[in-house]
Amino acid sequence: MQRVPAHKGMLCHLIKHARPDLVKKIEEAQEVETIVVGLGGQGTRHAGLMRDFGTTVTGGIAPGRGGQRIHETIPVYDSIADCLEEHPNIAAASIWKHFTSARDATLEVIEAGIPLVMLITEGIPLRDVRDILVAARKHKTVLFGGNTPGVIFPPEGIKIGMLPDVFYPEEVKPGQAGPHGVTIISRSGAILYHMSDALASVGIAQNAVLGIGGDGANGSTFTDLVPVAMAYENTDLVVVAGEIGGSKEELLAEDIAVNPKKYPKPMVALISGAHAPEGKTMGHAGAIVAPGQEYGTFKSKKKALESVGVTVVNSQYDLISAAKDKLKGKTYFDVSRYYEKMRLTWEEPPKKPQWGTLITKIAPDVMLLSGYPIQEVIEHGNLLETAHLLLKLDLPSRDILKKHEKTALEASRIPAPPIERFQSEDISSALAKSFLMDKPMFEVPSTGKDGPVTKTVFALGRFARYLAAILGNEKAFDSAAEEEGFTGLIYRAVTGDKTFDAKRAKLIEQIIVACVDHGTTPPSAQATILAATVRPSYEIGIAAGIGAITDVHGGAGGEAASFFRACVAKSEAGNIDLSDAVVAILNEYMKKGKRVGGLGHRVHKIDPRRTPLWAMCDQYGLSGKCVAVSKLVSDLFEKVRGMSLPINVDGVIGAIVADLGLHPDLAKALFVFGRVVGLSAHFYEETASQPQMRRIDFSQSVYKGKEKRSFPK
Amino acid sequence: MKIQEHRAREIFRQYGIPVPDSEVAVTASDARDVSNRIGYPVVIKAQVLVGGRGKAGGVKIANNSDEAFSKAGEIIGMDIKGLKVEKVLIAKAVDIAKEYYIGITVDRDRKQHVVIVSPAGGINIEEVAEKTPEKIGKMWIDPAYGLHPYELRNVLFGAGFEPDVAVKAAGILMKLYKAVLDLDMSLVEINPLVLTPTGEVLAIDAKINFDDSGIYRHPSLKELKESEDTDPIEIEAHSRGLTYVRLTDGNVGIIGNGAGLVMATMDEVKRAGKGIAKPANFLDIGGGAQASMVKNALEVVLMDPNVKSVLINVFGGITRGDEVAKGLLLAIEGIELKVPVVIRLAGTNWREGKKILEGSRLIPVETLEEACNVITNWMMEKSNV
Repeated sequence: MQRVPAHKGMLCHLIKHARPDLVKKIEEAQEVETIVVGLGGQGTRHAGLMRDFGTTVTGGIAPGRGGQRIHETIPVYDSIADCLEEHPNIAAASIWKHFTSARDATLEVIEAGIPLVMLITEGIPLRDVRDILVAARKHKTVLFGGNTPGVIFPPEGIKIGMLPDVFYPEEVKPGQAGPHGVTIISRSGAILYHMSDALASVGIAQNAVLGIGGDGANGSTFTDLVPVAMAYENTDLVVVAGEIGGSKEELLAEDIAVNPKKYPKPMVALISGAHAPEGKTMGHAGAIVAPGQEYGTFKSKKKALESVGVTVVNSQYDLISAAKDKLKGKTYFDVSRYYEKMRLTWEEPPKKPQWGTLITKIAPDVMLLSGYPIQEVIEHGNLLETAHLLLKLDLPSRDILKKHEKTALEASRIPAPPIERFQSEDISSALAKSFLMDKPMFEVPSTGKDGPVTKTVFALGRFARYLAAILGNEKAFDSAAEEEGFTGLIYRAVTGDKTFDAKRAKLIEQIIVACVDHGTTPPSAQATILAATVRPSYEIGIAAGIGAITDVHGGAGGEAASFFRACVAKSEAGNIDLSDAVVAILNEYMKKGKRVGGLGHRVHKIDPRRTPLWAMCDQYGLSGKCVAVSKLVSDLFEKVRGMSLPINVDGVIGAIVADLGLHPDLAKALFVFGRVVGLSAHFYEETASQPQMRRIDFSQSVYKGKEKRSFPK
Repeated sequence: MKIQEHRAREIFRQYGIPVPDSEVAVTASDARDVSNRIGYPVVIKAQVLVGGRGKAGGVKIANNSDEAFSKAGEIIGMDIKGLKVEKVLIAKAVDIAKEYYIGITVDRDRKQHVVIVSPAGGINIEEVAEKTPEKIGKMWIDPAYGLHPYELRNVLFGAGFEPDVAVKAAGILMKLYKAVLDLDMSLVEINPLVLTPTGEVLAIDAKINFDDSGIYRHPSLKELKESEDTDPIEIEAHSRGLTYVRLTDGNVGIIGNGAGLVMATMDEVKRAGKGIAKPANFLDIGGGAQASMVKNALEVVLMDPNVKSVLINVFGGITRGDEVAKGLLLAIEGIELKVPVVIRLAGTNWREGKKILEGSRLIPVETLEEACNVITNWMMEKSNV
């Protein structure tokens, strides 16, 4: 249903009283930002339920768990201050801490100036409640609870707390919510479902349901909230749901008598517990009738409220007729629509299991790195920028990027661990070994907010070093000039050239960028994610993924490079047309039953990475005959084999590697280099947002990250 | 949590509040030995957690060893408002020139501690407040400012305490406030605080209630807990961790999730009951409705011989109805159901829940109104037979 805009709803009206400055922000953003404090079972579960209902859950607070995520998308902060630094417009918090630590958590929230606080915790010691209330008064905090079930605003599609979605808003036309209705203010949670159902069955809508809590002493009471609800222009009637015990209802009656102007709208009170015995606590700490007292009983409450003209009822049927009467028969929606909604929610089949990743969206011919199309990233982004993007899900500032470059360069200056690459050992295997043997790498911590990205950047610097060592290029490497930056370092590590060639260097770096990630399903990503479920060291997790890059997965570039070279050699040797040479080699391959690497893709028809790479080669004047073949080969393959297998990124990289005169093995080395970034991102995402030892079905993975956006040029 | 007077006196002593010498005895001969040690005359007071001990004959004076034996013997074993006296407090009797009242409690509506004082002590303070309100002094404590003796003296003077008594009472109240904060008390009362002919100010009674929610901070206090329950079913229910209150003249057992919902269900049964169906108890199983919880609840409710039918009202807002239904089936396994049990099941997946229960010994209905009517009709048929 289309909702009432956030700034026109009752929630914003409540916030306005405490923090008028936030209203403008709410109107601009069209959302009310909330946080969840205390991420035990209950807090975590309800954070998800609130979000599913429509509440903006900006973050969770759990000291010591900063940097993690709950429900895969909600970031966790160590403190309210940390959260407010990134999200200054937090307007409401729900607190789900154990009663032994609720005081501390609530004081932190209140002192931070968050105007609306739902204290869900039950059974907080009175002395602690007193301290909380002193702070709340000082900051004009609107405090609900302790022991509140929370609040729900059906027209705005927002709930904060644990109330289930059983309420129905005004419907101005089918599918369009309206802000009018009855505001219910209740001491009990469970009774609300009954009341709501009773009212809905005759077409009466609730525009807000506010639970003040069942504990003996709590924050806002009827006297505070009824006038605020009545001051909201769209409230037609206030229903107060009281119960025996305490004197909240009597105090309300007293206030109505003294300040009748604060109560300009009709009101009905439903008081429960007419049949409770004296001297016994009825479940709620507050629901006790003390023997011989003149307040706290059903009779005393009824008498007090009726004496100031409030209709008092003791049953949902009387509530229905009293509400109808006060509203003069006004209805807010077609009752059959309410029953239909309840039928649908009640009969809704269980959701298909899925789990989320925020890193890369993969769809046919589409690759978005945290929202940025890979084409644009290849065109405009460098490797360290892309690494930051995948780890932090946003691009770095200029200063941060400089810091990353410094880290990577420093990492590359430390000698590589002494690794022997065995004869015919896969280069990925040698690289994985380097990772596992590298003490300086191991000693970089990955704790703290920026730990993961810093560790990844350090790893990229180390990786350049390993590569230089394995390929015997360390001499070229050591003569690198400062101003060449990390780009120059990669170039020297890969090529062994002692002179820097800016165009060739940039092309090599962008090939690496093109390889950074392909979502959660490639075998290397699966290996790293699976390893991460048991929380090993970073090096183990990344080595697991790198080790899974073989000639079967990620090795096609080398095969392609050999194929293109063979084609070009044939054309040059026989002085025949390039395309004839390609056809001849294809036929040779067919006869031998040999696979042509770099053709076809399990997801893409037009691999989104190939066009920007080709374009860059052409632009830099680095396209040679192999790149020319790579542009022809798909069509020729279809003619020879009758099968359409478009060229993929491995094919294009193989062609470029061949044209650059590099060893075909390097195609795979570049692939691994880039994939270190993606594997790092998946490793840290798994550890930050998923339970340990979870069972993973990779086909259930769903992209839940940022929508498509343009890469800044 | 309430504690017995002798334990409250111990706490008073720890905080330096003057109380006459006293000890506890559990037999008449014990009482005689203790009395001999303390010196006559002594006051012998029944230790039970109910008011009105004096009127019930639970407080007596003994002037010598024989009297101590016989009077203690009369009190021990006596029944006061349903509670059996198992021990007595023996305290040195003091001469009384005048009686006062002082106390500190939590005003839950103002959410502050409040000091209450009166120069008319020894009798029910509510009566004093009603009949002679000018004899009551009240002061709410600002937690940020704290409590200061000058404020207390002003309140005591204003209520009519003599200046020298006021000075001493203010000192005692300062100590009481410290104890209240230290130990999470919800109420502390000295009634009476007495002035002796020699000018001493002493507490000769002591009442302390602790805030149940704060008890966890004081593990040693848990040992002081004494049963206040007199009803055997309530005792059983509380030992199983259930919130259960038994009503005297009901016949419909009530089980629900959420205190407010249970209270409302009781009201609805009463309303629809035509004077025949009446709620027999309050029982809240809380959220979630786990099978073990429901089983315990049903067993407890059925212990009451007055219960002729049971109404279970579970609203599965977030808990799914089919899960609740499965839990109920598990719960009734091995329970002998001699009375009809109606279950009102609403919320997510209630239809499937209903299907699961069909053919079982539980009768599922959709609305509370229907549930009340089904119950009332049974009760009427039963009473017609």
